[in-house]
Amino acid sequence: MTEREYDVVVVGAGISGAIVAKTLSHAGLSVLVLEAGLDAGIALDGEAAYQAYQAYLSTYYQRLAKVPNAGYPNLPVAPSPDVLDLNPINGITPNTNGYFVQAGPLPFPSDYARVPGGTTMHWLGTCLRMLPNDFQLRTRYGVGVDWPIGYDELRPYYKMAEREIGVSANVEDQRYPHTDSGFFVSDARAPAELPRSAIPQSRAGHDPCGGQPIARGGCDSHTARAKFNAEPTV
Amino acid sequence: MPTTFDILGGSNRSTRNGVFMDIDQDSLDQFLSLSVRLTGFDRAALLGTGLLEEYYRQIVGVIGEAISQELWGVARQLSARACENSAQLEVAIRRELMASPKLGPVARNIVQLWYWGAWIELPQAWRDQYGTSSEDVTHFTSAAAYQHGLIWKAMRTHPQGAQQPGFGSWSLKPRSPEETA
Repeated sequence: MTEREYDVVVVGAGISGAIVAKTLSHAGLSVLVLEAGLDAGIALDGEAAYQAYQAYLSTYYQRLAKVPNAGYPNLPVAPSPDVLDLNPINGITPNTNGYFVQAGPLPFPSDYARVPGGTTMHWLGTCLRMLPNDFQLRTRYGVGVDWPIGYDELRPYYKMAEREIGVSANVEDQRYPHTDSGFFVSDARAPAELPRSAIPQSRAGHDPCGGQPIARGGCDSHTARAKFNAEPTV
Repeated sequence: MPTTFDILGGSNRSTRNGVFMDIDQDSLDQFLSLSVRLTGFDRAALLGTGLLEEYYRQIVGVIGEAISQELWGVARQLSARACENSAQLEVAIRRELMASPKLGPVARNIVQLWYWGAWIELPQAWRDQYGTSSEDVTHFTSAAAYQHGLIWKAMRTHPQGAQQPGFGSWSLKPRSPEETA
């Protein structure tokens, strides 16, 4: 086996690992990504990634319990926790059903997918910034701890991340277009003047930093894979 | 590295053991007309799902040719009485089909198939009496079956994870049953 040296080793091809690896490799560094769930398969070109995603959907459609992990394989080499593994924890006997050993008193009642793309394979596309006061919980509210950094220090990175995953944090984008008085019906009548607006939810073809309405790509709610996931980023 | 994924669909299931099923058109027609009576949806709506043959194969795969023919026989009788008023016909469906220990559970599964897209394992009493098939397992017959379940039309909504109604659709009032009929 040949030895090769990398500038950076990234553990996990989820939302953070994928974007970190992409950024570093674009900066000219050699990057090795380690991913435990590689057995689920990974597609490095657009068409194959689309087909892989369709296969996940097809699996989901046929599962009797439509839970967040229903579309993804539970790999022997990288098991995923599943909400279907949940059992009440009685006394001091931990719940060992599934991947987690849950000692309680309250079980972790959620799941994540250990596959390339990680959480982004079943996130809801919603990604809100923390508020400035959230960084100063102890100082302002006497609870929890203060963060060692403030909102302003994190702000440029919020912007970079939002641009990458297609989420908008602009205040005006937090309000959905007013939905009374036949707003969308008039859309349908005048497609040439389709008024589009950014929303704080991940959609492809969305450039939140450019401040443009989403005009390109047509009606993107009908576009397959309109929501960001980290697999193409890898 | 290519992604490897094999998805078993409904048609694969019915040929899983290498047995291909010949479908005769008359039986298929009887299944369709019976399905119209049992679901309340018309022929166009049922044919439009593209699942008629898939469901037919599922049913015959479980209950076998002989019980199937009894079922199509009842369907034929009901068709012959179609000129009677609907109340009389409904009584006939309840008495001759739904109340039958042999055909009733199968008829209820036909409703489940069309509405939900899933075959539901027959009651144990039925399996004890009439036989147990390896195909008699609760499952969606295919990905398409889940997506085309009549339950979504009846609820005037869409299946979770499919057929998304689009951005802003939450602003549109649900249509009344009269409008969608």
